[in-house]
Amino acid sequence: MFYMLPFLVVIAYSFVKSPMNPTFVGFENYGQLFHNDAFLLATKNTVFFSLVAVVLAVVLSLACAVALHSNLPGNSWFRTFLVSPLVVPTASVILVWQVIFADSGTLNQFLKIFHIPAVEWISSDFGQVVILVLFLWRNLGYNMVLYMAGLQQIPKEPMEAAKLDGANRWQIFFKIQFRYLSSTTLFVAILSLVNSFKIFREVYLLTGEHPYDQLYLLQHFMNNTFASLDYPKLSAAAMTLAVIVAIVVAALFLFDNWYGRDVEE
Amino acid sequence: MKQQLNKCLKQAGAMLLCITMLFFGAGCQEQKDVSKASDKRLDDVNYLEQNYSNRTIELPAKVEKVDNLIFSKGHIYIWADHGLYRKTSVEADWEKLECELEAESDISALGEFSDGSLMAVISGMTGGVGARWIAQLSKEGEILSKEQSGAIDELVGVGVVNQEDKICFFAGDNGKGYVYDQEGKLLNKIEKSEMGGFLGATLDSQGSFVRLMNTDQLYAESVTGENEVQKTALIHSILPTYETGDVHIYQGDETYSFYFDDSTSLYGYREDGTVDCICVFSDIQLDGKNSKITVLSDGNMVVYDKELNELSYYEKSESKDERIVLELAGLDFSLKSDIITLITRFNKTNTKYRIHVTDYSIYESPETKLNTDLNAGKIPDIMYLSGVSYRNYVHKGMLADLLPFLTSANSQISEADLFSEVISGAKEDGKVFELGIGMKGSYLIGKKTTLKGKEHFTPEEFLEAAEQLPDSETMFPPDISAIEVLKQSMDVDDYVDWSEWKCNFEMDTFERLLEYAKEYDGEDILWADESMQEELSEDRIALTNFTMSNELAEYARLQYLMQEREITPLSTPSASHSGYGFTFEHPFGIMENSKHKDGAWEFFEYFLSEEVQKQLLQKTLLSYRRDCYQQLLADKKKQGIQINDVSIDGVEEDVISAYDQIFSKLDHLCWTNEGDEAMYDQIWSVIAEEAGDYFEGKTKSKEAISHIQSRVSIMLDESR
Repeated sequence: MFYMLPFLVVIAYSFVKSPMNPTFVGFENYGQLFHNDAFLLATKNTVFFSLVAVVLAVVLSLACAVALHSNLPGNSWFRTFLVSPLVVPTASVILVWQVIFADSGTLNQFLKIFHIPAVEWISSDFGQVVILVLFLWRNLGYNMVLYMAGLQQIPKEPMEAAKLDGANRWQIFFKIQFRYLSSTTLFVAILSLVNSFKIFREVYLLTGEHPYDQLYLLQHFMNNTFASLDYPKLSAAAMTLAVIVAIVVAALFLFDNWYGRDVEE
Repeated sequence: MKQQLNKCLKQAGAMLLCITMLFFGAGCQEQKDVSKASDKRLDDVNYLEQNYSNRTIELPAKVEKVDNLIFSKGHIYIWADHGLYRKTSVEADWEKLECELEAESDISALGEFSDGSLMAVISGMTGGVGARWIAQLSKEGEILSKEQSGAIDELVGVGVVNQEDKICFFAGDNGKGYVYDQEGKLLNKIEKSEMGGFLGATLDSQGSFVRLMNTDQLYAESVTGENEVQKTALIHSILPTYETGDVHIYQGDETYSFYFDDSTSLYGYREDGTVDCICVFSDIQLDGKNSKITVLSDGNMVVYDKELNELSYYEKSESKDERIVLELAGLDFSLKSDIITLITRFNKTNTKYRIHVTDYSIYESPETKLNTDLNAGKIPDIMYLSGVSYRNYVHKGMLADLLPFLTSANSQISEADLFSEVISGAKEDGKVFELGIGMKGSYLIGKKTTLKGKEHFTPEEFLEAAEQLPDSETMFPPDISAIEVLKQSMDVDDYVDWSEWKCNFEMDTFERLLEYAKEYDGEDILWADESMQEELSEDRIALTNFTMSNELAEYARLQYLMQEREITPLSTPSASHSGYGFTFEHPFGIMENSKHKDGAWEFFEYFLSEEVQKQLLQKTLLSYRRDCYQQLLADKKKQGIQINDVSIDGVEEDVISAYDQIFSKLDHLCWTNEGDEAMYDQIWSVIAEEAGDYFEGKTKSKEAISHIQSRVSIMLDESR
């Protein structure tokens, strides 16, 4: 009950006029939500960001893990560099990011040397790129550690057998290593998905309650909706998103079960 | 396969729950801050809710006003009308002491020793500058010795209490303290402090010098040895907006080491470091903001209400207040003594209802806490609407329509008593959801010729007039900022459709206004003063602004300008001709879910009553009650009016007629209730931010407009 009660309350709120006037209104709140431009914009931005961020987070962290797993020189240094963003407080990160990406910030000053006009990094279409870089910078290290742990768990025998059978490096990686890593990939993907929603904290610190179009995320919508006393709308949005995310997560689980089926057997 | 699917679905279910909570948690992320504060204000304070009965104490004969009130050794002293009076108990008669001081001197502080002799701090003038003396007085009040103290002299404020025949003086902004014995010998000199923000000091029940310090929290410091802080105790972990003068400290008794009040509540500090909130002043009909209080040794209080000029004895009482409690909530009452006074007076006079105030400003996130409470069903009867989004409340159906109350035959106030244009301007879809204690407004004034005799003009007409001005004249004073020009020349309502919660800033007019405003590169804001009015009348500028007030001289001057210099009040340039804007001062609404709407309306009747409105008009508030002005005018005519600061020839003679004419026009000048200051502020902050970038050359006008459009659209969509 401790876990279920808040969930049930959210469901209940999404079907009433307001907590102060709890008249049952059916799916009216959901109907209004799907006609709300702010919600649609926030959903579009969040889905787009999550999609790109999760894919990049998975691919790049896997690439880094594989590179470091192959005993390149300076491995431990790279590992330290990649993991270090995890221990930096968000507020300090934002401060640095502001210094770099401000209108008169470091990056624009650097571009000025090459006579390239200043770019509004935060308040233009580049905004999502900036946030994406920030997200990857912050999350790659941890994902990479997970992948490295996964790589160490892969038994050597199948790979050696494949080598004897004449398989090249790519074939060994995709046919054996990556399939052994399917559970890790699932975990990294879900973790990245959850973390991609948490990027709101950084965006909020960078741009405030009402940012520019491209950076307006679902958490902005929910926070601001709470401030404007619209609990039913907030609850309907939370439920809608929960269902979408649950479907995505279930799909990932199904894919993992299918893709990693031989490994499990 | 089926097992795998089941496993998947179970995992997905768990994930759904986690992610939903993650989302929901994002919406309520600030609630963790709020949980630190309990439902009953400060969570590190025990709330006793002690009830008090009160009765008036007669002032000494011929005394009209009390300057200082002191309690010492079981006796009550007042310094009033240049005389020192003593009462040995609440029931005893006043006795006048033989204390005689020079004309400009008074007693700031006083303490009594066991043998009845007194030591006092006398404030006065010497050689044209302020000075303070430490004086020893006989039991009868005769001054035996008087010594100017360099140490005390440099201090800002001085207080005194005594315990075990030691007496301490304290003051300044750094918590200095001086403890003397009966002979006037300095026993202890405390000059060092671990922290700043000195609020007051006393000797506690152990005889130690104890002071209250306010940095980011409220602390008590106990100092026994010379310059040695013995103990520092945290009193409040959450700091309301205490300022010097808000907090007072009193000597303790057997229960408490010392008492203190913060102008809203009386607290007792126990030796073990715990703090009891003994009572909330508004609950016991005590106006803490306007009163001098002294706590007697048994925790009872003697209170001098400066507004009512009334001395009262507040005695602890076991009987409960049986009246119906009206809950009144707001985001910030801390510095608004007018409201607290009003509520206290209402509580004092109403026999059926009493108001209990919840001031959310004490919480770390006031608005979040208020919203959480509202959503959790903790709904007040009356909402103080300052700082909250009025339009959101109306849009969500949370406020009750006040018009049926106003038009009810039983109501003690009717629509006809109030300025018709104000009520009409306050209507939203034919309903009135808020009424204020007073109103405020400001509008432009300009030459009739500049705007071709019009009182209302569109942004296009404004821009056209600006283009046609001669080179020697500018629309606004050239030293004001571009942002200020934009603010003065645009009406947000032109760009926002409140019925649909949509906006359209991508209009040619708005771009032209932005470009026009950019021509101004000053830094000032437009301030209604005489120099600007002079510039206006000398054709150096075409427009300035004028703030409504009840200052007679200002209206007289405006009347003069209107008659002699052809100057006229003008509304903000607006396509909708929405007219002169006004806002309610201290607006209140009744919550739709209130169970005591009739009781809540009694509070409205009270603050709109002729008596209260007349009192407010005497201060700085502008009333919208018609008969107040008629009465005030009649009083002024009877008294004759002295105006010292109107320098234009001939004005003095016309003052009465000017006053009459202008106040009769006040109604006409209030057309549109710009009620939602919170929402306007939010929108304006976006406009100012983006326009600011444009004015600084960081963006082009079209980019700025596009940013404004998208950001304000999101803001409005969220609330739709």
